[in-house]
Amino acid sequence: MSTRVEPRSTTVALDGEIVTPKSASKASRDRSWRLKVSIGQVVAILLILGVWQAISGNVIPDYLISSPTGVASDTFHLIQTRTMWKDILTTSQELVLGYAIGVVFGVLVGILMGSVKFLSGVFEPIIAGINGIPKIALAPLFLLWFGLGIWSKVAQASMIVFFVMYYNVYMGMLSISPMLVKLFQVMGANRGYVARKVVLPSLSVPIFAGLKACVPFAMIGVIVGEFIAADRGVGYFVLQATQQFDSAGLFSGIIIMVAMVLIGMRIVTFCQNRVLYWQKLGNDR
Amino acid sequence: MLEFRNVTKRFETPGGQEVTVLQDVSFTVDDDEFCVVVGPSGCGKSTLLNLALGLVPVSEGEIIHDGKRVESIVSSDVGYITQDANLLPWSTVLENIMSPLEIRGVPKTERRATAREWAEAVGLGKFVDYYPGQLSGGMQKRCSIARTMVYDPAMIYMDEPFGPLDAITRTILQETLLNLWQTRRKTILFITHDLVEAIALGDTVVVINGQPGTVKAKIPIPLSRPREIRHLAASTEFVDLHTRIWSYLEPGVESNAGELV
Repeated sequence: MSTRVEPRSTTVALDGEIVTPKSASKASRDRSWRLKVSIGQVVAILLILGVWQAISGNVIPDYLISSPTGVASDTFHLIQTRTMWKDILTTSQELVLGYAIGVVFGVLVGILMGSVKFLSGVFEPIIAGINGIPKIALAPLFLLWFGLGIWSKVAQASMIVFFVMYYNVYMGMLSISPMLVKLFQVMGANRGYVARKVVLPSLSVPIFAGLKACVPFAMIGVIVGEFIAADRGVGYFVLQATQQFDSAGLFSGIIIMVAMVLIGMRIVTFCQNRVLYWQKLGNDR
Repeated sequence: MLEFRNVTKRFETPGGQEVTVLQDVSFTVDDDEFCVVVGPSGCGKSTLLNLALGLVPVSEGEIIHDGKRVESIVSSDVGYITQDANLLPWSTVLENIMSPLEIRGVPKTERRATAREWAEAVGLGKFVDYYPGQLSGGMQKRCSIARTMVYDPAMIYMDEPFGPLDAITRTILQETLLNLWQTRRKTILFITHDLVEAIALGDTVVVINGQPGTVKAKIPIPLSRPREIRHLAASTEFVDLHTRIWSYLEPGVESNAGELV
């Protein structure tokens, strides 16, 4: 490692402080670091796939673990079939609806409980109690209430999402700086202004933390619902494949689920970068 | 005008005991006066400010602000500058400075122009589009001063505003504050534990000491204005005042230390 001092163009700002713009050499060092990491990741994945391919059919029977090539060709064929896309569409609908309903209620109840002390005093222990239920155990109940169609899956997903979202927002409400709120009150701000300009932006951080955590949770809810009883959906497809000892189909189904979750996460991250732009600023200092 | 009349403040500790923080505090801050309250930490001086702003209620006595008894949060025509800058991290410097004008319903173009003027006045002209996270502590403090000055309150409460800053930045900001105050007279109640700062800034210095805190002295500072803070400490007048005010602080400091052991 060289300890050469990088040439920097510096400007002396107010208070005699020195502001250093991010230097070009740092950017190039960042880039080469990222390249190294990417190469490492590719090598690691190839290694895992290689081992999988090697032991498949030799050490462990093919019908148990299939093989990377088998899964790849299966996935490739599956996504060209009309029925697979119908399954994906169904699961997507359930996922989006369950996620949205859980998020909306989680945020609303979190804000309500965080702002009205009496309500949180009464309901906090009750909510904690309900949260203690292993929510998957409610799947048969939802089936009974909402039928075989998508709504029992939507209910299952939103139930799980709700609690994650609720706790994030509720804790977020409790961690809002009381000093900042008082300052704005002294400045003459009414409740509405404080809510819009101080409380909601403060909550954006815990809300996005929750939004990210909830994407895979929503998927769990939907798939559990489809496992219990369904006649379509990616979870249903995976269950069918399992019953037919079609391990390649099973893995393909899982890969499609992962792809759906990752796409969901990308969308949330995209929104997060737009809303929380201010958070990353100043990290160079 | 702000008047403290026999103000006593008691708090209940989590253990259920009553602690008296301030005892029988009386003094007056005249219009356009720069009044500095000085005292060691733990003497209740920040509580004094919270009481005056109506953020916490008094236990006994009363506080009269512009002829009215303070009973709830005072939000008419007062400014509040805290130890932390307390800026909105998701808003730019300009947006932060504009927010009190927005609250007051000033039209957008006008509030932009006024905020820009104040950003210039505190030396942040080139940084209006920066976010607080990108600024140094001193620059954040400048921004919070501009955010208060921008709506021209008649009275400003300052709670150890320069406390967390380094000595050089502190002196520069004290001078900035005095310059602003010189051109736009306001009533200021300024809390600090720094005796040098108290003498350098104030028209009067109120010494609070002890536990519970009581007013030990109210001393006029006859140093002429405008003052050059960086050269002030060398003058004999300053040294005399410093020695004199120190004498009111000393016994309390000892008793504090004794109680801590």
